[in-house]
Amino acid sequence: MNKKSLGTIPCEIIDFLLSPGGHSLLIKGEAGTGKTTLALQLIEVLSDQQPEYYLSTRVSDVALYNQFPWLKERVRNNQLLRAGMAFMRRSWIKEGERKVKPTEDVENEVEVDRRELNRLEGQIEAGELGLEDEDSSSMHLDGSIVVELGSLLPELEMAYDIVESNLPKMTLVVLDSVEALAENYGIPSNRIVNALQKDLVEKAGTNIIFVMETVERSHLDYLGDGVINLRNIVLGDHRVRTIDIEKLRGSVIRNWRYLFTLDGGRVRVMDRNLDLSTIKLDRSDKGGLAKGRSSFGWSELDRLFGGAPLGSLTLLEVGAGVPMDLLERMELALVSEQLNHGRCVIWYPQRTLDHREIPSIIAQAGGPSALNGLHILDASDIVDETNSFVKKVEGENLANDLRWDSLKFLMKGAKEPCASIIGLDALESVYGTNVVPKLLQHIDAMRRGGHFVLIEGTDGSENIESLSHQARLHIRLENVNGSVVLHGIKPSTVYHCLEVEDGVTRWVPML
Amino acid sequence: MESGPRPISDLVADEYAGRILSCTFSEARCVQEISALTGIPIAMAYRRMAVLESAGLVKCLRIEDTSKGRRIKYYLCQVEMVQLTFRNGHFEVEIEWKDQISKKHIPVMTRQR
Repeated sequence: MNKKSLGTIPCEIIDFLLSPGGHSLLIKGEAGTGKTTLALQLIEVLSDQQPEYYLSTRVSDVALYNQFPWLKERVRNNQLLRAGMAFMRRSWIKEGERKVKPTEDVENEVEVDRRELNRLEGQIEAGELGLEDEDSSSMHLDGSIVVELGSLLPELEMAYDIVESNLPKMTLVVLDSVEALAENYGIPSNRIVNALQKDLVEKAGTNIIFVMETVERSHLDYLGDGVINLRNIVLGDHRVRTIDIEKLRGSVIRNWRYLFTLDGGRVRVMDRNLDLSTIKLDRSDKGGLAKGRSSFGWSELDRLFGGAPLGSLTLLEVGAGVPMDLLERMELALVSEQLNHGRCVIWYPQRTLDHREIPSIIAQAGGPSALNGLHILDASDIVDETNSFVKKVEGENLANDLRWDSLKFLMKGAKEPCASIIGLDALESVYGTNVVPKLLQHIDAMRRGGHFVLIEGTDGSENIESLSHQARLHIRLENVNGSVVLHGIKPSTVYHCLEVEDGVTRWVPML
Repeated sequence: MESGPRPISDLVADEYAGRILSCTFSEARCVQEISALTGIPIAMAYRRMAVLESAGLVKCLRIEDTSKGRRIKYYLCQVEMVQLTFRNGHFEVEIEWKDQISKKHIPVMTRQR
């Protein structure tokens, strides 16, 4: 099995379908939530172990092939069967007869119990079953029809035949969607689910995935062994996709909700609770920055936002639950980037730093050993000013502590542009909440000099909103369901989720 | 053929029934064929066929057995002509059967809504 594929679908679902015995799984969700994508991907992931039968009633071949390029190859190799006009013409024998197997083979065959299917068909033949009158269109494009006489519910009977031919090996059957098939037959969808659950899942040990268009809870939720719901949740002005695991009978559900994106026609579940303590943020310049921009020291952030705009303010807003490790690394990446280019950094840290550790952590972040150009402002009572990069400030008057002439003196000899990195919450805790007017003096001075300011603030800060008006670039980091997500408020971007693979970080768009 | 006036008058005006009658007018067909040809869901086609047969509008002409052990019934439309007329302030359905022997005048009942 392809481990990478496994990693893109919640492991609970895979484990559930791989556990002994047959299982039914209901995939529910509104239109466009990714139900078909997930169902096909489950086929792909499990194909090494479970031969599959995919029955699609609503989606055309062309649309499926466009969305899932790998599907065409599988169909060509006759590995994947699907219903619909093309499938019918390919797979059915016009005279309505299946090829008869040699007698000796028949004797050794294991048969599937078709009790529920026969009961269902019997009721249909007797005219006892049906929905309210609903017209359905089943006209073939070329006007031809193929009727397999004796097959009342041909697609379902095909599923039974395939399951039977694979016995004792388990088959994976996907019905996409149950409602569409029920509509085609003119029978209630619960009758289809009930028949297949009893005959194929419970008696023949088949895995069946029922793709459902109905989102509301129904008694089918109780009938199915597993129920997952695909949703679009709203975050700000954007939508984010989630897989919600409602139940997986007999299986442990470690996480009931996963964020996911559709990446290259596949479901890609986002990592949760990442260990970011050991990551290194790649700074390699993969395309260069536009004029008037300076690197954040993290190529992924540069790729998304084009670097920090010079002569302006960049605001980094941090929601609750964003890992401290990531924030520290982002700060250190920017500091190291500046110092590596011989530039100056004025740093009022958001968090208390152990100054003795600074040289080693900057070196670990890829920065230089000599910290010329680094100036950490510290208003605490206990400041060890033996470290050349630490500058004690009064902590009484912000305007005085950020006086431009004294900062300019610190910048002397350094290459431009210079950067100031300011922790807004730390500033407010020392100088009070009314820091913006005096902070703006500093920001304006930096702007005029063609430098740039990065202000980091949390939801608890009083001044985020007013500073947002001043910022040319406003980025927000959040923890959503254990995943770290980021999006641009100014300019507006879609949400991106942080992924780490082999220590390499990547912001994956949530599409 | 004993049947109430209302079912027949309803039936000849019913779209699915009309499609089935058209489909079986010149050739006996089984329900599966009719469903495939007309787009009527299979379960609905069986239900309509049962009503049409009980009303005498279609007749089972022959039964064949398939290799699967299922019995397939082939039905033929028994109606030559249906005419809706308005006479003396009342609608009336006139059915002319294929045997050319009988005609049937059926008053159309007004539904109370």
